[in-house]
Amino acid sequence: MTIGPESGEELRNLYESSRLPAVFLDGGCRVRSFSSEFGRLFNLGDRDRWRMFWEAAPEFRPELGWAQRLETAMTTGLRCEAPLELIRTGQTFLVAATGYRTNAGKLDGAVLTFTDVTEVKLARRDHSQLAAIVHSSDEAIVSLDLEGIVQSWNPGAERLFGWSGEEILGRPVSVLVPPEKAAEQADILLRLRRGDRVPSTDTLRLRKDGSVLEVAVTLSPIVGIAGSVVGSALVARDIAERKRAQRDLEERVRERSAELVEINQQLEAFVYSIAHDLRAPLRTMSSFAELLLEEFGATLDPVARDYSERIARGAENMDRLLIDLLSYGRVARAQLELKPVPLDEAWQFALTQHEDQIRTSAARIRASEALPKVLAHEATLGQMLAHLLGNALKFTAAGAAPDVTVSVERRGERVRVWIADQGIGIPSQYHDRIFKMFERLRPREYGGTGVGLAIVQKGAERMGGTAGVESEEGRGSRFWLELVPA
Amino acid sequence: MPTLLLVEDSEDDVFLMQRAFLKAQLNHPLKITTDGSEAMAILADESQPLPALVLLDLNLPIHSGLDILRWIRAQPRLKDLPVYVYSASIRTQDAERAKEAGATEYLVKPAGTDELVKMAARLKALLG
Repeated sequence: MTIGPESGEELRNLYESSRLPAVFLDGGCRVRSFSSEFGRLFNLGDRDRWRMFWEAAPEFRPELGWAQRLETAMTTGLRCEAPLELIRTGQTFLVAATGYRTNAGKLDGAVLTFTDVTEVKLARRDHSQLAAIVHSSDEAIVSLDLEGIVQSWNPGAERLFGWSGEEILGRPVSVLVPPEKAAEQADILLRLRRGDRVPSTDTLRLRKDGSVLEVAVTLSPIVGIAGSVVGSALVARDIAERKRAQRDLEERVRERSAELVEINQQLEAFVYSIAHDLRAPLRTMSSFAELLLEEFGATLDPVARDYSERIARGAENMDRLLIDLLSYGRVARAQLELKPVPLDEAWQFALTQHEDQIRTSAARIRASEALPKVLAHEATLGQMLAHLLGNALKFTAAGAAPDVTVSVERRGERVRVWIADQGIGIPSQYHDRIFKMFERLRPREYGGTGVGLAIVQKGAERMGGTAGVESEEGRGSRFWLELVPA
Repeated sequence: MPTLLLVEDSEDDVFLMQRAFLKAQLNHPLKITTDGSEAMAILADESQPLPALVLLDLNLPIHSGLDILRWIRAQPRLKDLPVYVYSASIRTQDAERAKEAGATEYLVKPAGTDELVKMAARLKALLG
């Protein structure tokens, strides 16, 4: 501390301990003494004593008119204050100047003390920024006490709800709540008192004129300095426009979906009728190729016979493909009414479909136990089993008689129907693929349209079930359907 | 021997049907028309005896098979006439509609010539 010889030690210590920047000027505005803090702040040292204060501390530049007021403080002893920004350190000080009185009560110079108010200033700036945000916000921002009484009300709230601040301050926020939402509001206040945040909800509120508003409301508890909930902040936004846009969008989506359904139906009908119309000329082709063989077979040379047979076979294959495609379309799209279907009846249907083949191939067919009822579409299930049986009969090694076993197994909530054969089997990498449309593993040897298993899978799916296979090459296949028991 | 009336616009199908009838020895005289209006005119002519049965294709120009069938069932004189609707369509709803409109039976045009002969034989058995 740089202090004059006239000061006592105690005084000096007090001066220093306060860590207050302070400077003592004489009546001519010369620096008589100053605290270490002041010296540090303005870079003053011993050499600066008795210099003119303005020269010794050139950074001391408070607002205009300060010199005059300092003069007044010196001559009248009155205290004057002014803010000072020290640009170098970024600090703001409140400078207080008081006239210095001697023991005799004579005014002789002045004492300047500097209080750092940087924090206060920043806080005030934050506060006024926040206030400006609240004030200019389009959203309604309202504070409530614990009882839900309105404590503050911004212009956004005034615009949204039609109440002026004067009208609504001190009234319960429930004046904004339509009767049917009263319970919801009571619950919200309860939650806020517990300190819970109430996430944004779309709800209805009333304007002063009684009209109903669609708003999104967010409520957050306000926690006081002591850490307890002292009230809540309510932010409300008009969502009529958003709701309208959403309704428009939903409407457009509905219209578009309806259009797509319509287009899809038209397309299906179109494909369907094409498939049917294709059958007619196909029948003509196959019939006349057959007639050629039947009536002129004996006189045709072998090459011509072969050609006619190829024509007949090609037409037959295409017809089978069309029939399978139409059948897939039916299984995939038609309304399937599910009801309890005895599995053994569906199995009987499948057997009838293949009776010629069963007879000519001397197939051995066993149903291992009584077959239960399942929830199914009867015709579709019959068709699915017929496809599985057809495969079991068809995919046998050359010369071997087919051997097919049907069994059931309860698996949790489902019934699994196994159709097992002793045929050529399927390598495991193809187990998924074979259920896809048009997939055939050995078309040259075994033919087929590649649609049968797609029908099986789609049919199972439409009945709330699944289909699959367990198989190894050369060791037979065990196809299964998992269905809901009835 | 009463006649059979075949309403069919496809020449190929007429040919195949005639041949199948021959093979099945279904020897009733066959009256053929390719046109729905003509079929209705034939059936409306009360001076002529009714055919033993009508084989009616579904897919006909102008008047569909179903239109003709409905017209037939609306005539008191024809309401018990056996009408076999036959079509290449395996669509279940075609069969259902034909039944609803009063078809005696719905027959799917078979793919093979042998099958067609079998169908003709069935008709012969029905006629006795």
